[in-house]
Amino acid sequence: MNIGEPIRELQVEPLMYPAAMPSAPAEPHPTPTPEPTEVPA
Amino acid sequence: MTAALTVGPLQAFRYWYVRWEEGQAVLQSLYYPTRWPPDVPLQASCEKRPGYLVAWTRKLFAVQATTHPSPASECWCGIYALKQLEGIEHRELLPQLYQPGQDRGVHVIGVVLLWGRVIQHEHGYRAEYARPLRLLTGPPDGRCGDIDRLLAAASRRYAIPLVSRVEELLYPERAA
Repeated sequence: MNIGEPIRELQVEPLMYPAAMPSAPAEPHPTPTPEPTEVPA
Repeated sequence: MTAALTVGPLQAFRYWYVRWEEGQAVLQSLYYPTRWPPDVPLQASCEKRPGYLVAWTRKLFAVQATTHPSPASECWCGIYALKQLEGIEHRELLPQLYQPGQDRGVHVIGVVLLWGRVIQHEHGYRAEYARPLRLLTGPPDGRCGDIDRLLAAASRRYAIPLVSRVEELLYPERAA
């Protein structure tokens, strides 16, 4: 396959096959809200 | 060569030799017996392929061949692909039966995705990683059943579509 003379070097980012799949973001842990407490009148 | 340039995904064209091997369709490079894996990308390697006598001598004396990361600008290694189809005759775009020795297969042109370190040339590329994207089968009336079965098996194994027109090879969104 004749592709001619080299011109330049490229760094090509992958589209379908990243070198390492990004890890899934952690599930948010909502701060538990305190149970409402009855206040005696 | 000028300095490295970072670019997005790159698609180009290349030929494969498609053949049966132990009942499975295999995509193989034309000029070297490199088998393309069906489930992972092909990664380039440079073996500085020596002549038979040099290879035999190295094997005899257990001398390891020196290698380097591929592709290298000072070498000719890497996964080859063409920028354009211009200059290729129409009949050369269609699957061609190829029968070296007892082997029997077909030369097929298709689209390949390239990434990693890529050396850009005047008419093509040498890449570090590659994965086949599409294969051109040509019109169904010009093929025999053997080729159809082989290409269909390659399509299933490599999870890539077969297209019958050059236009679909270039612009898959225009497929009927």
